[in-house]
Amino acid sequence: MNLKVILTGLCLLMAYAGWSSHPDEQANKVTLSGHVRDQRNGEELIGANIYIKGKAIGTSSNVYGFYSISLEPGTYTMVFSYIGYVAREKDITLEQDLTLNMELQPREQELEEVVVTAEKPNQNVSRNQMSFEKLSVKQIRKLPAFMGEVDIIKSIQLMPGVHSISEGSSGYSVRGGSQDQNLVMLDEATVYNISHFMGFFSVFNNDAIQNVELYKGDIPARYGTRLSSVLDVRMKNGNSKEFRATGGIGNISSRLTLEGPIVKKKTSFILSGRRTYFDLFLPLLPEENIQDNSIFFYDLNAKINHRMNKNNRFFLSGYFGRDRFKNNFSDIGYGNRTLTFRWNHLFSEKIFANFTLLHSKYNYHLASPEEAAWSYRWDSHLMDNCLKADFTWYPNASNTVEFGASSCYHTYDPGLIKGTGEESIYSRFDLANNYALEHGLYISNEQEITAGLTLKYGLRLSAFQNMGKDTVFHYNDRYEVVDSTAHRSGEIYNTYMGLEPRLGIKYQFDRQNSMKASYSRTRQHVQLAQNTRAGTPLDLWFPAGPNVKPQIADQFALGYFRNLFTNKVELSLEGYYKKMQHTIDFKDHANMLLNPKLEGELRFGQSHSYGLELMARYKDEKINGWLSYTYSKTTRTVGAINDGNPYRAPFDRPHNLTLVANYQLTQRLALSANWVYTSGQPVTFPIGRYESEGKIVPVYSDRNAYRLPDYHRLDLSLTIHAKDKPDQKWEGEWNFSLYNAYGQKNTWAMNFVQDEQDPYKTVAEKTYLFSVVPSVTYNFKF
Amino acid sequence: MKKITFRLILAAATAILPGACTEQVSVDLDSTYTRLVVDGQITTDTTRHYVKLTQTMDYFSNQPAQPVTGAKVMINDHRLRENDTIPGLYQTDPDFFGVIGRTYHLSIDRVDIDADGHSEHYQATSRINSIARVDSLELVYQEFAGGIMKMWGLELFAQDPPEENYYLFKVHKNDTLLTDTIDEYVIQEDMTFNGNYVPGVMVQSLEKSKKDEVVRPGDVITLEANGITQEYYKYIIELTNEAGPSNPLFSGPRANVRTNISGGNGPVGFFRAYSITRLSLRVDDPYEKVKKW
Repeated sequence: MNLKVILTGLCLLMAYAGWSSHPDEQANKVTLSGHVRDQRNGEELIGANIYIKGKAIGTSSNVYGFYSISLEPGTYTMVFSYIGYVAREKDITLEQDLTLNMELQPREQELEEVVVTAEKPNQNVSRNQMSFEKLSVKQIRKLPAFMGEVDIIKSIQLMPGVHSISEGSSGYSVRGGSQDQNLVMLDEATVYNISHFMGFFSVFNNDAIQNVELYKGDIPARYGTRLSSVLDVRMKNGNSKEFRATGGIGNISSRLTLEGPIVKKKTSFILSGRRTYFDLFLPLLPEENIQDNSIFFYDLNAKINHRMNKNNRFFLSGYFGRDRFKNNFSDIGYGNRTLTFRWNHLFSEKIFANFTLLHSKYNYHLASPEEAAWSYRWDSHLMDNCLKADFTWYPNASNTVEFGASSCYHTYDPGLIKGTGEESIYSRFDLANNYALEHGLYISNEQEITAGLTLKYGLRLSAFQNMGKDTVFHYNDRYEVVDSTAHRSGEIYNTYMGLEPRLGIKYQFDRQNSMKASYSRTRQHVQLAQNTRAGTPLDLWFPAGPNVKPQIADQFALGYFRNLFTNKVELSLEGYYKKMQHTIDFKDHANMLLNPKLEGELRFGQSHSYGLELMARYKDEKINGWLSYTYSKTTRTVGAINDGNPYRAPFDRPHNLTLVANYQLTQRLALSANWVYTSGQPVTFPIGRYESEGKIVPVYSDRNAYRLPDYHRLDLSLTIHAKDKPDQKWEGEWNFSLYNAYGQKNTWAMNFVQDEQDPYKTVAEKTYLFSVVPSVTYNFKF
Repeated sequence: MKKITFRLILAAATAILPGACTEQVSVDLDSTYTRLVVDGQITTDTTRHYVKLTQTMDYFSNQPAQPVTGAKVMINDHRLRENDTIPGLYQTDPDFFGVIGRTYHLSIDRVDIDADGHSEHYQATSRINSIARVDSLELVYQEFAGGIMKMWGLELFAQDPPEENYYLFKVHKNDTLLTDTIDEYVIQEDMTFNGNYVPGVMVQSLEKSKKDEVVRPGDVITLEANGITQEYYKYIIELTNEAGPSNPLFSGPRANVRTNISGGNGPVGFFRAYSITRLSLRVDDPYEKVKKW
């Protein structure tokens, strides 16, 4: 596509957006704006619906709970609605610009004297956004939890088009993409490793999370840097009305969250911690060698926000987490740290701005005991420091314009190994650092053309610049280093730049029916050197550069959305086709660890993915849940891998069926179940064998020509809420969970091994991780 | 050493997998065409060196490999003779020895593995690399993590030469080779300690849980250090990975093991040439030196 044409077209559209209505008319309009909040705790509600009763004119609150809508002066009945909350109507007389902050009540609470609308929000149909999942923390909490740890990542893996990359893993694949193609953000800071305990738990502590949104396609222009998906996780701001404590004690960890106002309605905070505790019992064990072992993880989330005045608000939030396994012969530690400082500023009722400073760091170390000559310590880290500015402009009721810019400075330190023993055999071994700048510039508009037709169009310009000091190797066509170029510190020696158009269209036939279509191009410049399916915390992130081109994905999606029974039932059917260029895979037997010539292990090609996702959701206070089915196919063709022939991508799992159901038996008793069924992972199996130096060696099939047996699992949970005592603030709740309730021995790994008695006999052996895993958690609030 | 460290990390990592279990299952596998398998070596020892020729078989064939007989096998210009009692085993004369720095060419003819009536030609090349100056050896009894693993470690003192080196360590007890399969070899490249003095590093081990490896007073323990090529080093890594178990955390996709044999239709196996140096010690007290980790 011609850049000039696109840019000109876009400018024209933007101009049209701003001044589409008659200038006189425009001058007469007044703006209604404000925030939508939770009545209990003052938390902002993200994506709440605001519309004029009986008309299709409306808007929704942004990620800071802010909304703005311009209307002609007059009298209106405004409806404010949000999933899981009682909708509220408000009669207003608009004569001049008006600020209206609206507080909504959670549905489970006793209704007070407010005007309510029985109708539930129809955002499934009306939102001009497809390939999108929004999860409420309340809903996540009801799902059966693995080992009692309620986990947003495990809940996301139950969505159509998303599946876990391996049993129990926090890694997930979205529409055939690999796990490093998912952008995961906590308060806008990239989280590079979302796993605790090799992936069995995620870094997100539910108690500190306010909102979770997943984009599988149709990715808004404000997001960039990853190909396949965006997971936008927002932390709570902290209760601005009263001091609250929540917590829980589970099999694995204990949690405690404190939140409350510092200055009422102006400043509030939240502090949330979680830590595993079974290592605290280690000193009680009789074995001396184990007493000083460590095995734990912890998370700490902290946030403080201050409303200076109506137009200015500040947020400072951070996450600190760490995993540690230490015994007498090895020591592994890893963790993320993120810091976000934000300033919300209203330039006018129509222009909302947010300025952000971001810091994110991921590091790990691996060490051996300190006394031996072969003792070593290996350290690695990566770090981001970013600046961002995002603007939302509400020129009139039918247009919402978003624009902004971001710049990041990335540092990658792949590894430094030092001998730690007194007479160490090791020389200092240092893999060179990489430095890069990454920029994004975007503009988009969501425009209502007629009552049923809305368009969304945007453009993102992304740029990636490699910066010295660095030495770039030159490879020949056999991937051997033939030469190298040294670049001095601060020198920008390579720049990639590209446009990412994003388009979306929605046509709503009526309140219950709509069609949506979208196209999005995404570019990715940073990837994970991960050759294994589930990966380990030691996998390295590495940047694009002269030897590694940016990955590019084009995704087309088409969907039909239908609600039934006054929006109690939401149905959707989406099909997508995705083409990815410069797909990275790794040569056979790639050496990924401590390899200064890592780029020589990479092979490039392309991949295709297509699929169909069906979703039926039932929303009722007593019974709710969903049934989803996905059919998908993902193929790669990369370099000489598989003799240059196409092969199934590692995350190609054609059939995926998920059933989730919650049943509120009584006021105090809730039952929950989920069942998942997925085709087995593609694998390479032996088709022949030979002997070499006493071992039987397999001759393998084509890459991924076989599949592991299909995967299925049922999880159950029962939640018992303690009796409410009116004079007591304390609320308690027991949760009993069964993971893999019928004990399905799902294959985690399939191995072909020599029989111990008869060395000429070979057998297939499957490894499974879990049978039934029961757990119990006690949660409290006061 | 690298392998031992890695094994321990793996043990630590899998220790947290609650109740991982294995069981035998039946799997249907396809067949593939027959390939020539070459397993041959030349060392600096003066002995009958060998080249073994066999055929690939179905994975679940559950019997010894079929030998390939009647082939013409040459190393440089020396013709190997097929053993009278063991078909498919071709040997040099007993006074043959390899020389450090020399390159050896293997050629194989008069083999018709694809049974099309025409014989194929196969060949391979390997060079004998030098080896570090080894000074001394110590036997240290070690226990890991309160006795999960108990073993005698052989700790080596040696000077690593300035060039890139690849080591292979084997262990003998009273003239019996204990490390008789390729997955028991310990290999090490000197990337992280090139040119340094190696002051007592565990390079092989004898496990207490294995009957034939238990060390008793009077035993003579011999460490065999081989100077191998980078290609053979990689072959061992690939082979031990592919012949061993895999799991989603640490294993990449399965792939065929490299070979340095060319010609014909996709031959497999390896022809290696390497240098050998040995160092022995006589054990008085197996528990004289003890380390607990």
